[in-house]
Amino acid sequence: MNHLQDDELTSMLNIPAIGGVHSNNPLKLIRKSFFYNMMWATFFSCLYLVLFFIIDFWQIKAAIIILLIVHLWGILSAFRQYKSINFSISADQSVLEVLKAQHRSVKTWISAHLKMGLLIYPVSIAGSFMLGGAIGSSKSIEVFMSRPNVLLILIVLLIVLIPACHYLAKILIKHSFGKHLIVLQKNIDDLESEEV
Amino acid sequence: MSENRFLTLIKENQGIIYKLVSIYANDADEKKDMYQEILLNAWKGWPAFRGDSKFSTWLYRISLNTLLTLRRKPSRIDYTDSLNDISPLTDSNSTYNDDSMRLRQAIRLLSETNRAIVSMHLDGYENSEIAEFMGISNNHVSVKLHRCKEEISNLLKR
Repeated sequence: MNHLQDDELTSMLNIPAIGGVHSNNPLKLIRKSFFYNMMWATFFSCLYLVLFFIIDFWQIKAAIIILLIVHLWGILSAFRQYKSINFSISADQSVLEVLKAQHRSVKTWISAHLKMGLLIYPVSIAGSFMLGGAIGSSKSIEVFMSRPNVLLILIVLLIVLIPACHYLAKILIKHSFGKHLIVLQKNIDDLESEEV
Repeated sequence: MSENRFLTLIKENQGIIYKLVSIYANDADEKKDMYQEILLNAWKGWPAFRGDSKFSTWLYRISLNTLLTLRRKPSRIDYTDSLNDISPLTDSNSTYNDDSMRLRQAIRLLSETNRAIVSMHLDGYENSEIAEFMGISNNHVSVKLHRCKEEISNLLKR
């Protein structure tokens, strides 16, 4: 095969241009997403802390403490994952090893992301419902929650919204990484299938 | 000094990148993205290059590992079974003749991993080297090459 000569590509061959390249490596995008997760979780933790001192309802305070614990756990776990992701492409590994490592990393991230969501959704939904109800009715949470059917509405909301949020998160993740995972798996299967 | 050495070696071996990019990219933009990504990964991996293997072999590995793990834009993953269905992806100063162009187009119709195997085979790599590159057995490489040759031959006959 002859080598192509392409002036446009050759013009990219200088160190400042190479250093300024925005990488599309999926693991780099995932690492970035962990960073944003940490930033958002820190921002919301600060917000919850402010709310904790403003709001008088003990139920909301309890929900905030739970949310803070979940967020802190989320920040720590995101930080661990962030540090552990190595997105540099190695020449020491075979194609199959590289494909498997990337597939594993993406799957681990998806699973961690979905699990974290399942912890946060119920507390956020219940806390928001109680706070919204108490403020809307200008009554204490005990009084608001003692109304007939309110507990039932909260349970229905939890039953509907938790799977809905989980499903939405799955759709968003599938949109971002679904096709990439399929291609990775196809290539792994292609290399592993020893059909003689 | 190290930067200059890197650029010199890349310039000497950039045909490897051009060739691999042209059998994986579906359009000029994707070709540019892939080229940049390979250069970036090669530059980042350069400090770890100890010279145990030839630079061309090292670059080949970096290029293939980059191309096969790069996330494609959804519309760009497009498999077809006819040479007439794919764009020729011609280059501004292409030196391909019709036969080699058709061969390259036929290679582009193979699966992503088979494209890598055929490309290495055409570049003179031994089956054992291809097997080590890909992380599969020698026997598997032989079987795959045999099937790829059949597939390419059928495509070229159409």
